[in-house]
Amino acid sequence: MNTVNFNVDGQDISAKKGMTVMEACEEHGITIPKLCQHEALENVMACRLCSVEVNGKQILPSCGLQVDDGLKIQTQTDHLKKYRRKILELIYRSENHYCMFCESDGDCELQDLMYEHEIDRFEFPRMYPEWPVDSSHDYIIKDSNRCIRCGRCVRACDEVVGNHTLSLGGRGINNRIIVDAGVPLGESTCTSCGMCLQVCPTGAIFSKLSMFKGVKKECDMTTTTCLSCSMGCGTNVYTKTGHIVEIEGADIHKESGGQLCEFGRFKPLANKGERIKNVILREDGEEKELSLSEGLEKASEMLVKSYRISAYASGDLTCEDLDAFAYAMRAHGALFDVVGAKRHRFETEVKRRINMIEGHFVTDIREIMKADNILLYDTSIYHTHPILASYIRRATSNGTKLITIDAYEDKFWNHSDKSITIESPKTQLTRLVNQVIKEGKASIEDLSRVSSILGGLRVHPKDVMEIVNLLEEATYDIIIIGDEIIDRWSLRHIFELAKLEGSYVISLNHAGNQYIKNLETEGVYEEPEVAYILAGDEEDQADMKELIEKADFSIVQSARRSELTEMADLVIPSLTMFEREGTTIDINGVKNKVERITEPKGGIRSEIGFFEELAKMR
Amino acid sequence: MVRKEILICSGTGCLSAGSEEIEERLMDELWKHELEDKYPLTRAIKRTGCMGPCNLGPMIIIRPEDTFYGNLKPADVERIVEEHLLKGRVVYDLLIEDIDGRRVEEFEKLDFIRGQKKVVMRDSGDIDPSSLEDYLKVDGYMAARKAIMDMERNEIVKEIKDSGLRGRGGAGFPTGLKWELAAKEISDQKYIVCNGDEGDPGAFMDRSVLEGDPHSIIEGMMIAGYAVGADQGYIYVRAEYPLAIRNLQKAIRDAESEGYLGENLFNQGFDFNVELRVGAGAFVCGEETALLSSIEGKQGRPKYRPPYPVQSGLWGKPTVINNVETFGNIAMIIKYGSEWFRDIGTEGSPGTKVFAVAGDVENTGLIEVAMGTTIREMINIAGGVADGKRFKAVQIGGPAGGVIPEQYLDTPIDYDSLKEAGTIMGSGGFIVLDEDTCMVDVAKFFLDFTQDESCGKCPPCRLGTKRMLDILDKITKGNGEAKDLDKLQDLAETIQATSFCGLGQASPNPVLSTLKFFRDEYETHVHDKKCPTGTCKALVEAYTINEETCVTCGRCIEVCPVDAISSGENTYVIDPEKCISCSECAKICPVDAISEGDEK
Amino acid sequence: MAENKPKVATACMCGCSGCHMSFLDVDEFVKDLAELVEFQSSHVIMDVKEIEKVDIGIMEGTITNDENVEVAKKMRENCDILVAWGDCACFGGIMTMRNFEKVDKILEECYLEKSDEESVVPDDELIPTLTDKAKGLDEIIDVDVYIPGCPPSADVIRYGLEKLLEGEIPKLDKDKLRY
Ligand SMILES: Cc1cc2nc3c(=O)[nH]c(=O)nc-3n(C[C@H](O)[C@H](O)[C@H](O)COP(=O)(O)O)c2cc1C
Ligand code: SF4
Ligand code: SF4
Ligand code: SF4
Ligand code: FES
Repeated sequence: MNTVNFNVDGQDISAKKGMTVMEACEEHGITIPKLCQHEALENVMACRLCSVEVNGKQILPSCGLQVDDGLKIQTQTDHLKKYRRKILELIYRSENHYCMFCESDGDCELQDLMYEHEIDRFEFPRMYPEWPVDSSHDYIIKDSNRCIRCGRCVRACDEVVGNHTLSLGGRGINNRIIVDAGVPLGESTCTSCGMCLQVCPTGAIFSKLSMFKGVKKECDMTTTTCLSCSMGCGTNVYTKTGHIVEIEGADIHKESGGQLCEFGRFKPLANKGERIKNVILREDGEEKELSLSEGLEKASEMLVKSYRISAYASGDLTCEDLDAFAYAMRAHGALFDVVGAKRHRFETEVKRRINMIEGHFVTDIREIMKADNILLYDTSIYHTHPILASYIRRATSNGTKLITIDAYEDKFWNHSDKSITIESPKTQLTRLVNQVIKEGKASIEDLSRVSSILGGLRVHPKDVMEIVNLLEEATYDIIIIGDEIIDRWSLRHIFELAKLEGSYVISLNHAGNQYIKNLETEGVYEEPEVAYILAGDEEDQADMKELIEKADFSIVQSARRSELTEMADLVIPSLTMFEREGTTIDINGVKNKVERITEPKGGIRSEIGFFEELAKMR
Repeated sequence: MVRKEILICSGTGCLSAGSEEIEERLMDELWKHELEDKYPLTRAIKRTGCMGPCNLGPMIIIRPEDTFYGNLKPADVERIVEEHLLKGRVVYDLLIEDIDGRRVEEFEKLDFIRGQKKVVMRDSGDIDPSSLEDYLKVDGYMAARKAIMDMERNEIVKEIKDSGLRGRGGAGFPTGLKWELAAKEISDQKYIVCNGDEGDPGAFMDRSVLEGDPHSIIEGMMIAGYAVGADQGYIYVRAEYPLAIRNLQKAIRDAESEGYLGENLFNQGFDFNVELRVGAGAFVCGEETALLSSIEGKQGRPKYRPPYPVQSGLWGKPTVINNVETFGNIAMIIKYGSEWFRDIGTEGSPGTKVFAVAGDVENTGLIEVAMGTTIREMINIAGGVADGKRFKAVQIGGPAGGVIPEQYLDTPIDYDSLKEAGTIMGSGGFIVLDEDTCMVDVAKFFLDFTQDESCGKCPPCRLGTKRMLDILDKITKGNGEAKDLDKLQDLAETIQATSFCGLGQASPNPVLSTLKFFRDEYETHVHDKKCPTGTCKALVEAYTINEETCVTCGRCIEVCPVDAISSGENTYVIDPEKCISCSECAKICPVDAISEGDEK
Repeated sequence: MAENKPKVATACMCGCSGCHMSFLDVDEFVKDLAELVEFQSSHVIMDVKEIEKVDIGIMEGTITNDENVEVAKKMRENCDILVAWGDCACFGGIMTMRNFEKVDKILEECYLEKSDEESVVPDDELIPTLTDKAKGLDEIIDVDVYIPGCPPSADVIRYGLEKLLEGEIPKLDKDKLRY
């Protein structure tokens, strides 16, 4: 039998075996107070507020107690209420809880419980702890004086982000959150994902970008999809009077834990660039402001009279935006490309040449956490794809072996089992690995032979053997290729390796929207007469800048002033990620909705409409 | 002539009392009298573990006549060698005076020893703990041989179950049952762990056993390993016990090289290894789940049970964790049988218990008694209350225990009776408190300890104990309010009911039991702002000397136990900060110039 | 009837009088109230400052100086039921922001560091001395009824008064309780 029957407050309840009493109760609408328990995290039973009476005698925390046949649970006896009140008061009065001037006032789980328990007076005097407030981080403030030591942040950093930056240290009342070995958060191994502040029940960790902007409970909340990279993270965006107050991760379940990264949570709010309200035309060293229709005019004029047109779009747009832009540009005979698409084209070419089937590609990146062995080419994904990086770290905490290969410093240095630094072409190493797999170990034993073949051999045969051995030991290995690997030779060897070993592959590119894989793109003229760049939120893409420099006339359509717009001849307003609406495709191939969060505040209301017009003006 | 043996106690207590110097002197003297052949160093002088009566150190026993010399000074050695060893005459004035003033010759006849029943401490003080040979001479590893060669696994479990042995680590959980549960678990790997964290303030029972008889613990663990099917053992010792660590390391090495640890023991295909783990010494690491985490190299914080260690302990494998003293009993039970063991002690608590007796008694030290011995008898063994003072209470069970007042002096010492009397057996703390002890202060002492040692995970323990301590502090400073006593009671109830682990749950006990038996003392502090024993400084009204009457005879200076009095110009002055209001000065003053109060 | 009307006094310590303002938001209930009770003193609606024997004493504001202490004690002596109005009186309120620094340091910062050169820290015996910490009422005197909030809404204030007039000690449930 997989269900058990038991009784809560006189009500018969059945629940799945293995559930905790708290989970079962919640399923049946019985709420039990809690502070340390969090659905995305392991239960540690620290706060003791969820204590219930079991079979009339024991008092046990319901978040740790497993359901069992015949249990008799009481959740609301007078004793329990008294204990909970006492614990709440102990917490409230021992730390500096002054709701009146606390950032979390109104959004605080401790405060909610204080109200719920109708605590209107206190027995204990205040203790006035004096822990220094840590505001060293760009986005996060950590105030241990309001910390209730529930340990959620520690577990989040540990279990969800796999980063182990936070820990609890110190005995008795000196127990507190410690960052790394006691450094300020801003100087720590923190990846700025903000997971800790999302799970913190109180005002002990909060965001500088959201503080005192509004009470979340009183905000409108919209669930949408982050466009910053291809992970397709769901976000809950809180707005008040049309302004964004805070962004939180939406998928709060055990696997992603509602994680977001710096780009999803903080960067969009940190954007300081001035919005572009009017079209700007730079002519003869002068800057002129034009209306949108004048801008449209000017753009079409340039397009119509030119033959070599390069159209280049950011990868962080919706499918609909990309379609509309592509259509308009094609109408003007432009060559069309999107950030990240080049890498995809190379990949497709290599796949065709070596007959690599789609079955080799991972369809759910969370599979990373199940692999025995991960071979990672290009560790810069630590910063470009932080969520994926977190899955790798979590995998290594659970025993997955990690081999990293990078031309520069290994960003996963404290997680990898084998770290190889090798300058491009990385192909050398992989080719040797392939050779050993194909021809047997003997083929590399003759060191001199190998080195003579390769001339200046930069690969150590020992490294090759180690990779071979790790690959052979593992039954489930995943090869991850970062977006900086753009030479076809490397891709070819890596894919070959995957074929030889039966490994699965995750291949990343720069685009946030993987719709680029469905789009027809062909690469652009390197020295065009006109370059039309749809940048959206993008601010410093090197290849966009290069294109502008080489073009006779450049048009940049951007939401904010940036280096790009300063270089352009014609600047047209664009939308931010929160003003767009439509769909996006994530790395798993799933189509997600993108909701309009705020009304467009720049000089354009509908980009799609604009491109439709432009398409007509041939 | 029978070969003589000189046993010199080298337990931590005696070492710090200067036993090494005595030993050196002894060797010098033997050399001087050209006795080196008769008393070759390795044979005749034997460093033993703790003999028990620690406040008599340094001490030696001369065998075979069993003459006991204690409180030795280096100068005494010469006489012992010249008189006792050369001429065969006992040095009468170096013998220890017993309670009745009689000088006792033989160690076994000391009141302190006569009342004891030694099972766990059987070899400590008798053998050289660093010598496997010595241990083998007292039938060492015979019980393991018997268990492994002649007994079935379930027979061993049954024998231990039948013996009624209960865990000596504090909770008194039946050891046989624990082993049975572990034996039933099916797993490719099981572990035996010996808990030698011993964190109670003032406790040193486990340390003494580990120092004085390390092999007996290894043997006990080995038998446990065989019984439940474990081949790996860990002994967790706190880093503050360097001698225990050294002796254990040597014992493990010797046992390994002589084939008492390792593979295929006694040719029965049973493997058993023991590793030593040294802990950082946090009190909460003594809690079993915290201890296991600590062995695994993680932070020593308690974990939720179930699963219990017997189901999922070290690295998730079934693990038997027992206290040092518990393991110390095993070999004896296997050797003599459960019947024999049951004959010692009481029905519900068979066997003996070792106590670290401290406080206001004549003789402090380790005392092992049969369960069922009364508290009064214990105190008598320790020579009664020191300095002829009146008995007030005894604190049993350490920071998790409570006090027992005079009216319960005849309570037998066993798990159930102590519980009934409002305290616990604990791990063996036994502190006798005389009439001069302030009970609020006692409660404060223990609470201060626990709140400092709380791991900080759960609010009732982390913050509740701090608040209780604050209230006690307030009371002892004379700022107590009537409602404070209720607040203490309320807090205590919440902490007991909701704390995560035993440390928190038991932390209010010292307060509750003093409050139960000595409530009037608390009330005097709170209402009258007085500390009846004069312990709480802030409540003491210092004595003052009347300048006019004082004749500067200086007698008061001599009697003041805390040197609070100094000479002024034409009078003497009492420093109110130092004065403890003992009234000695007032009593001795010939002109009645000294009285209580006036100035605070 | 008239002579049996319960007597009420209100007082404001260190506070913004916001609670009293919020009280005035009870609108026409003020009129009913005037029928039901007799105001002995109240700085917002009358001129009497001296507190005499009353049934219900209502206090707003934080205790931050020795005058506040004196007024609080006087109120306690002279009333049967003492009501703390607002976060300040209940828990210390916004004034507790100064509790993270020593009094001297704060005075120095306010009057010397952050002001022009001639400024001095006021030191006149007419000016009440600051207490070491800003305190809620119950750190000085016993409080019977707590109506926290900044300010408590008119509805909550009204509820509290109604209950008191019915002879009950009001207790705020979770919907009325706000810190
Ligand atoms: C706070 C705390 C501290 C403890 N310290 C010790 C200790 O120092 N030594 C010990 O043997 N048991 C200690 N225990 C008890 C252990 O958790 C465990 O019950 C014991 O080691 C089991 O062995 P036993 O059955 O032989 O007694 C402690 C328990 C708690 C809650
Ligand atoms: S953390 Fe919560 S309870 Fe604490 S002061 Fe802030 S809002 Fe109030
Ligand atoms: S900072 Fe927040 S999440 Fe972390 S332990 Fe403190 S209260 Fe809990
Ligand atoms: S009761 Fe105390 S020692 Fe035990 S888990 Fe809680 S805080 Fe830690
Ligand atoms: S929610 Fe269960 S102990 Fe905190």
